[in-house]
Amino acid sequence: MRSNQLDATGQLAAGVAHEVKNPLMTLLIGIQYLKTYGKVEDEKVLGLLDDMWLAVKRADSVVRGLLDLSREREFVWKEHDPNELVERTLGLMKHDIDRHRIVLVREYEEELPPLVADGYRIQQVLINLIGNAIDVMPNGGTITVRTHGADLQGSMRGEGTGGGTGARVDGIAIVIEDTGPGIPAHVLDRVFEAFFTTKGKEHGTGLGLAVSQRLVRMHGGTLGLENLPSGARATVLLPLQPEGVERGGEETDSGG
Amino acid sequence: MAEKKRILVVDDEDTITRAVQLYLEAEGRYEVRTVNDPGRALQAAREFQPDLAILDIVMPRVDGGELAARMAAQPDLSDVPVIFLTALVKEAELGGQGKTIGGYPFLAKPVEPTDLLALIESTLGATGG
Repeated sequence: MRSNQLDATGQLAAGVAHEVKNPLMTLLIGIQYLKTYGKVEDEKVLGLLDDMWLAVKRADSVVRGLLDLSREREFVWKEHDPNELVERTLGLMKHDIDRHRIVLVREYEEELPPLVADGYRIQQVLINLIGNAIDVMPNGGTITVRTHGADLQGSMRGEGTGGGTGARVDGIAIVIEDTGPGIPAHVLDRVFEAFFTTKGKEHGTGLGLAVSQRLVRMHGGTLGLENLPSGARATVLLPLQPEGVERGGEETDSGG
Repeated sequence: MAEKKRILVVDDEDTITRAVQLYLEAEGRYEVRTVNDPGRALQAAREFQPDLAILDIVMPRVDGGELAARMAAQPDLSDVPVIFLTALVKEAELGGQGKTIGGYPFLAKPVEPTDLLALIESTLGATGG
């Protein structure tokens, strides 16, 4: 049901994006013109123009999210060191993490096998998940980022994914835990729906998790969310070698 | 006072061309001509002899890419630098400055006026215009 919803959304997205971005451009230029040349001195009007600017940027971010849903851009499959991929993402988010006084705990399993993935896409997923964790802890908290080998085949047989002694590691788990308020039960069932958001119109487009889940699935993986006694946990499970994907060579860049 | 630079803006959305014209002319350094029917853009360019052309990519009948190629084939327009505007890509996909379509720089709609001004200035500067 949900994947059908997303596919239908995706087909519409490119056309909608084109039709919406043109009027948005007229508005952006018009607002900037009024602010620069409109001889506006009334603070209330200037404030209104600032709000209008933000509203247009927000509409644009919704459209960009829609493009993400629809985009069948070619994936760049490369071998990545999973821990490096996570670490690079954290580097991108350092400013946000510091600004919100978040304590970051890293629990990386060492010497993980290489992961064949589109590094940019996986970073995009991690940015969404870590960004959500930051958002639910506006007054600070702890984010724990954990990596470990996973036995995906075993998990499909109901044996858990923790690549313990003797387990066959055929995947990687990237786990992000926060110490926020957790996900309300009535919300948990809907978090992956496109346009569903609890962040309010100012902060969320309701596309982050929908896009993230789609990207993880395109890697043959799964994205799970669950509540903890104190906080929430997101678990990204990725196969080391996605089915039908040829190994594209060593990782070469920052994946950006 | 230096002579104003002539800028041709071609976009089938008349609200966009009006807004761009208003904004650029308010800057005081540019004379702007706008065209909404891309089929008439080549003739307009020949009459106007712009220093720079801003072309929308997705337009009915004649798209921006084809228009740029037609301009490049005209001896009196072949040196006119072009900036493309497109609603079909995201800013993030541009990967920062310097990305091009067919060798021309481009901006993703909705374009922020300051970004458009900066690209106009750098493009005119690069061509000695």
